[in-house]
This record gives sequence, structure tokens and C-alpha cells, in this order.
Amino acid sequence: MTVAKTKEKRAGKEFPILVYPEKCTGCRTCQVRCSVRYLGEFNPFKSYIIVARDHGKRTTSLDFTDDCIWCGYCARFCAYGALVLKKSAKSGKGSK
Amino acid sequence: MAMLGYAGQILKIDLSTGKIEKEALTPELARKFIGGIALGAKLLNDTVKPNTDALSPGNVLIASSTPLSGTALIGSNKTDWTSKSPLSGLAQTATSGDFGANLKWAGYDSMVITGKAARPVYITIFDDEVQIHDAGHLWGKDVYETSDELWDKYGDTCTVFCIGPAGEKLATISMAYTNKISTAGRKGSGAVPGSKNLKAIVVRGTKGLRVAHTKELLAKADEIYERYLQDPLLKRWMDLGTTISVEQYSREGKVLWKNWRESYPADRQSSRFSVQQFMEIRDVSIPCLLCPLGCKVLYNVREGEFTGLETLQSCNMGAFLSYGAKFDLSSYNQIAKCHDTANRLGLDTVEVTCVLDFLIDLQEQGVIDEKVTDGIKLERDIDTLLTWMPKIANREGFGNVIADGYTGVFTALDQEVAKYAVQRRGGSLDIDTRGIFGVEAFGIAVGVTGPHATFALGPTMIGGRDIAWLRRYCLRMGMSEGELDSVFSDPSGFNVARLTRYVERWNALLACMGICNRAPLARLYSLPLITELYSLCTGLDLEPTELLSAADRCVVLLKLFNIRQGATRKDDYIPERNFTEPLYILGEESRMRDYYETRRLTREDIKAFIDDYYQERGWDKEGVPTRKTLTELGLTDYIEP
Repeated sequence: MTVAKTKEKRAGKEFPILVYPEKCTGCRTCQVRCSVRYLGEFNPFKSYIIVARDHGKRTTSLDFTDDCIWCGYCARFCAYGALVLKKSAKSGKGSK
Repeated sequence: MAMLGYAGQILKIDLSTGKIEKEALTPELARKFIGGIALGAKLLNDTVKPNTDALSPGNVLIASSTPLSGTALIGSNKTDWTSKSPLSGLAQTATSGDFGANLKWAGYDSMVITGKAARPVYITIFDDEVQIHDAGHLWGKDVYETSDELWDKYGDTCTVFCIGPAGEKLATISMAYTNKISTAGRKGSGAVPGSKNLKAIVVRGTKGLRVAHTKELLAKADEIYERYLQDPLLKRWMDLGTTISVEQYSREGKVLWKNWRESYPADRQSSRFSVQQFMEIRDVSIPCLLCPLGCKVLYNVREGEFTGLETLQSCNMGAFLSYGAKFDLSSYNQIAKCHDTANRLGLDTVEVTCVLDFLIDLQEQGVIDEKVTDGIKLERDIDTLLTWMPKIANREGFGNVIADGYTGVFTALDQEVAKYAVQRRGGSLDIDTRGIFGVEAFGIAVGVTGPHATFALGPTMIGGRDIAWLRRYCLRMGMSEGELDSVFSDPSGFNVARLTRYVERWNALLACMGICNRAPLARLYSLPLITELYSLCTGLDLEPTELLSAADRCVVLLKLFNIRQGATRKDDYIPERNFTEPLYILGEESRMRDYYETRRLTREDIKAFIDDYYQERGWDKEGVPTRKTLTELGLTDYIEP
């Protein structure tokens, strides 16, 4: 996705997710959901969310790529409370 | 072009020659053997010759993903591990861990490892790049050290499979581990890689996966997830994992100790291993890949004995049954310590504790004395476990004997001691047949993977289920009217042996699809749904009956494998002690009785059940699949001339 396209998609939105990396277990569901929604394939390496798990320290950092259009879709599938959709952002549901 | 829903390749590695090959998974093979455990059973049969020593280069280590794994379907990312067990001499399968999803994203549906490397090695699989590396620096290191070192080197997005010292020393009561927490099954899964000088496998797949009908599959995945969220027990499951059943099991006298002689006192469980005490040691969830349940946890000892210890726990219930109850431990702190020790060494928790418990019983009965066990009196306490687990893993002193499980002990002492053991084909039982005699208990006698009731877990774990409930369960498993009649026309309500055959088919199908058997996940799936999901993933339209046939093919192939490795009808049995001695459940004498507890079960009854089971499967009186059965399943290639 081009930078311009991403900016266009983000226009008028606030970032819709509250992020609590300390709650992330590294299950990577968010990544797979993101990749299939936007790129049509199940592939955590092509996701717009980056889950960097440190197995030794059992910590995770969560980040979003410049291509992320702030749709909040990934947060719908976080079972561990690491990604929480802001109340103001809870709207459309279902798969694209 | 790769098939959709499948990676489309089978990776074959011969460690003797170093040859690495990639074979296409043909649509015909995919349709017939689906994936997972059925594909594993096919590859096992085709690769391992009759009467092969399980610890020889002729054995194989197979990991298979499934058509559903690596997608967004929850609870469907299990890996099927297949080989010949060095403990039982039978086919060994396990549906465990998320190695398969990463393997599939790397471009392979199955991985088949044969031969034996000249020196210790490990394998890396990064998409198309597959390499064999020297593992001299890793050999001797424990499971945690090895996993950490490989993660440090290759990054935390890899899945790491490895063995510990017990596997290296070919202990037949060893296990291999994925990501330090999931096992490749019991019955010597660590010794098979060990016998190949294979210390570890690291896999990372970045190719991803495309399915035939993405939009429709996601809609189904959403629907399944919504249903999952409605489970009233979900929060409790997420907090407790398998600990959710500890109190009930204990109250009902299903927790056994003293070498299968009596149930563990419920008041000890409630005072030492309560839910509250579990929550004090429980830290974060450690889920499998793409799993929202996270039933595996980190134990974190925050105060008291072993303060500071952190260790990963896959099955909390199992740890309580094996360490806490059998060895009369005083706290979850002690369980954590024992579990950490076994995991690091790569030992099979269940076999280690059952065989030690058996030896303690032999000492208590005066059959053996301390001289046999290196001058050490065995006790039901933590010291015995912490003393003996390293001795077993490293084959030191009498630990060298215990390392080969019950069979090792029978061989070293006197075959007469076997009468004190409760085991089948050298493996300990999951369930005592003198408690509730449902499919889980009968499955112990006839299970194709030995006494670990891999395929026979299901509807009758709880006693007294009424017939209407059981019929509903059977309908969800896709049983036909004719099959229902066969099972439920029995005057006692249902025929446990005939029902076992269909429960096994259902669990084999779940394993072919990589679906986890944890209740909140497994109960989301029915035969019509699985059929639809398979079609959405692969674009291959199979009838539900074709999927059931594939599951049957899996069990039959495993049975044929066992027969070719020398197994006969004599290997299908219930331990003799279960006929001759009572089990004391909560102080009450309990003998082997039918499911509804209307009558005692004798050897003749069990013989008749085994006949019924073979008949229902289309096997002859000796348990050999008939020509007709093999023909119906499209397995004519396997008909003996």
C-alpha cells in the first residue's frame, strides 16, 4: 500500500486500539487475521501488526507498520486483552 | 501450482546420507489421506519395514500439519507426530504443539526424517532452505538450554523442537518437546530423534498459506469464534486449563496412587492442591500458535520452597496426577520443581512416575529390597523424584533399568514382577478399568497406539450418561442410523466395544484436522462443519462419509503397521491385576463392572468385547483387517498376498 493510500485510509480516524503488550502471549492470531484480511493469505510475516516475542524473557512488543490503516480488525480476535478496541471505535464487524 | 489449503510438498530428510528431497503432495494423496495423522500413518507404513528396531536408522520421525492448520480457525493448529514407539513397539502418534503450522507456512505438509547422522546434528527449515548443522555444542544440554540457544541464534519467530539428555541416552520413557512446552507424545518420542543423533529441528515459515475460499472461510471462522466466546466455562478454562477437573476427579476418586491400588484422599487434594493454591503459582498463559484458550501456563513460584522457579506447564492436571498425588507432594511448588526437572531432562512424566510408583510398591510388598535400587529406599516423596529423574535420564545405576520403563524393569529383575504392574505393551495406563468402564477404559485394551487412549477419549469419561445424551454425542460424530443401531441395540443400553470403534474414528478425524481435544475447542466442531471447512480450505469437495473413511484408513493403517511389527491379538488386553484385585475408590471396594454398574466384567466379557470391536471394525478374529475392509477403504495395496 502506498503512503498516500494509507494516509487516505487513516484520514479522520483516531488510532482505534488500546495496546497492552504486557498481556500479549504471542499467539499471533492478530497477525494472521490481519494478513488474510488485507493480503488474502494466512501469513504472520505479511501482517500490518508486528508481534515481537522474546521467549526467554516472556515479553512481547507490539507495533504497527506504516501500512496499517487503523481498522481495528486485529483487536477483535485478541483473547488475552493485549489489543482492546476503543469504545469509540466499536462499529462494523464481520470479515471483509 | 500448489494446492490450496495445502502446502503441496512433503519434505524428506535422510540423516544417513544427508540427502534432502521435496516431493509433491498429489491431490489424490491429499483426498485419500487428508493430512495430519492419516498422512503420517500412510508415510509410516510406506517408510518403516516390518520388524524394524525402533531405535535403528530404519525408524522414522514424521511431523504433519493438517488442511486446517495455519488458518484462522481456532483450536486447529496441532501437529501430528508419528513414528514407531521404542517403548511399546507399536505405532506412536501424538497430536501436539504448533510445529506443523510453521512447517506448513514454510511450504511442507509433512516432514519425514529417516536414517542416522554420523554425529549429533540439528536441522533448520527456513522456507525452501533446509540445512543440517553440527550439534556438538548442543549435545548434552537440556531442553530449556537447547531451545533458548536456538532461539537466540535464529530468532523467536521460529518453532524449536528438541530433545534433552533422556532422549540422547535413548531412554524409552523420554519425550521430545516443541517450544519447551508441547511434547511429541509419550512412549519414547525423545529416543527416536536421539537414535538418529538428531538434537533439534528449527522451523520458520514465511511463505504463508492461501485457501480456496478465503471470504467464506473467514465468515465461518468468525462464527466459530463467536460460539467459542459463549462458552459459560470459558473464563474458568482460561484461568485453570486442565486444573478445571482436579477437584471433581478427586471427589469422584479418579485420582489414583499406590500403584493403582487406591484413590488419593480427596482431603489431601483440597488442602494441598486447591484451585486457590493453583492460582497462587499460576502466571501467564502460554498458548499454542493461534489459540485463544491458552490452557498451558507458566508456573511462577513466588514464595516458599523453590522461590524464584519459573517453568512451563502443558497439562496441569497431569502434573497433579503424576507428581502431586502419586508422590504425596505437599504443594504446587513441589510439583513445579519436579515438572521443571523432568521437562529439562526430556523425561516422560507419566511413565517415570508410574514406574517409580510400581517399584515403591515392590519394595513395600517385600518383592525387592533396597539393594536393587542402588541401596536407596524409594519413598513417595519429592526427594525420590529429584534423586531418580537425573539418574534415569542419564542411565546411571538402576536408573539405566528404569530408563526403559516397565519392560526394562521386567527384564532386569524377574518377569514375575510383571504381575504387580498395571501396564500394556510396556506403557502405563491413562485410566483404570476398575473405575468407570466406558470407551476410554476399553480403548486402553485395543488402542492402536498402546495404552495411551489417544483415540478413545470422549463421551463416557463421566459415569452414568443417559442413552439420549450418548446418542446426541454419536450424531455429532457423524454416526449413521445403521451404526447407531449396532451400538445401541445392546440390552445393557449400548455396546462399549462397538461405540469405541466410532469414538476412535471421530478422534482420528479431529487429529487429521489438527483440532485440539480440549473441551472448549473440540466441542465447536461437528462432522458437517469439518466437511465444510475442509472444502473451503482446499476446494476439494468430499462427502462427510469420505472424511470418515479417511479417519478409518488412518486407524487401519496404524493397525496394519503394528501387525507388521509383530503385534497380534495377544497384545490387546487389560492388565491381569484389574481382574483379580479390587481398586479402593474413596475407601470402597471397586471391581471391573460395566458402564452402568449392573454386573461384574470377567475375562470372558472382555474377550467378547474385543471380538465385538474387531467385528465392528471389519477385522477378523485375530484383529487383522479383512480383505473386504481394506478393499472398501481403498487400501488394496496393503492386502497381503
